[in-house]
Amino acid sequence: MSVLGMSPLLFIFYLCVVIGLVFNGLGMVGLLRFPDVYTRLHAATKCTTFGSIFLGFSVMGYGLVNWVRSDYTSGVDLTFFTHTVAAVVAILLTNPTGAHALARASHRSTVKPEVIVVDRLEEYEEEKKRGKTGVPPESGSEGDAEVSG
Amino acid sequence: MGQEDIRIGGLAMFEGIEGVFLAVAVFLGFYIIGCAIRLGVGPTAPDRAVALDTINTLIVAAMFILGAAYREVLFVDISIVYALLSFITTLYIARYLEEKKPGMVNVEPVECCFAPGSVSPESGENAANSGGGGGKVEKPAAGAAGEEVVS
Repeated sequence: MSVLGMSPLLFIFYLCVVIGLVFNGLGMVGLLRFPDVYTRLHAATKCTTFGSIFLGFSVMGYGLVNWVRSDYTSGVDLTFFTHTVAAVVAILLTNPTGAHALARASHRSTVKPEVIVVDRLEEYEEEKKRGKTGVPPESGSEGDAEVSG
Repeated sequence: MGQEDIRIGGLAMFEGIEGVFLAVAVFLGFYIIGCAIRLGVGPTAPDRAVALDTINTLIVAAMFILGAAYREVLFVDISIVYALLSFITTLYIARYLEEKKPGMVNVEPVECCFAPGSVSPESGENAANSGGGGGKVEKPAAGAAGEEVVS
């Protein structure tokens, strides 16, 4: 059986490569075209994380297939698989965390969003400032739950 | 790698797939150049930090793709270390952007966040506000940020 004239495994491989390239490209376009820091961060981080994970899948598939083809003797190919898993896990853990830190930092450094409907972090910070200067906060201690949203 | 392993039918079609990886790496290079445009023209410092973060992710992807293209496992190992180091760099830049912290070089916290010439009147007003109350709020804010990031 074959899909588009190639074996199903090869088709999945090309699918991963194309998804990875398209999403990385969308991340770049979003970074260039969106109007302010937060939307740019949103587009760039999500798209590049997803795309890089799929490029990692293609390298993993390459390593596994070559490992099987070599009668399970090619250590280099198995190392490709395991180490790419480690690299993808590293991207998956570090990229959203870094984006979160960047968004919070840019909010604190008084770069505000251009178009904004509600800014919960701003409300929370002002509430905390008021509590700090002696005036009791009005809406209680629900700010802790709000800051994660 | 040119063994004649035709027993497993579909897998033989993976012969010479390294060229595809090389083409993907070239594409990623173009994406990195596109992000470098934002790194250059980004009006504020957080814009540049975001562009740098994106470039780092693309470089990690390009590194393991190139490792597969040239069959060098070392590239993949280096990409792991690069991902972790770029994460630490991003966190450090974020802390730098936030406010001045104890242990860091004294900088003007607000003026440094704008490219020269883009400081608008309302942002100056914001700067005055945060500068007025900044002395007392600075430390607890920093602690909260640290906990958020770690957890």
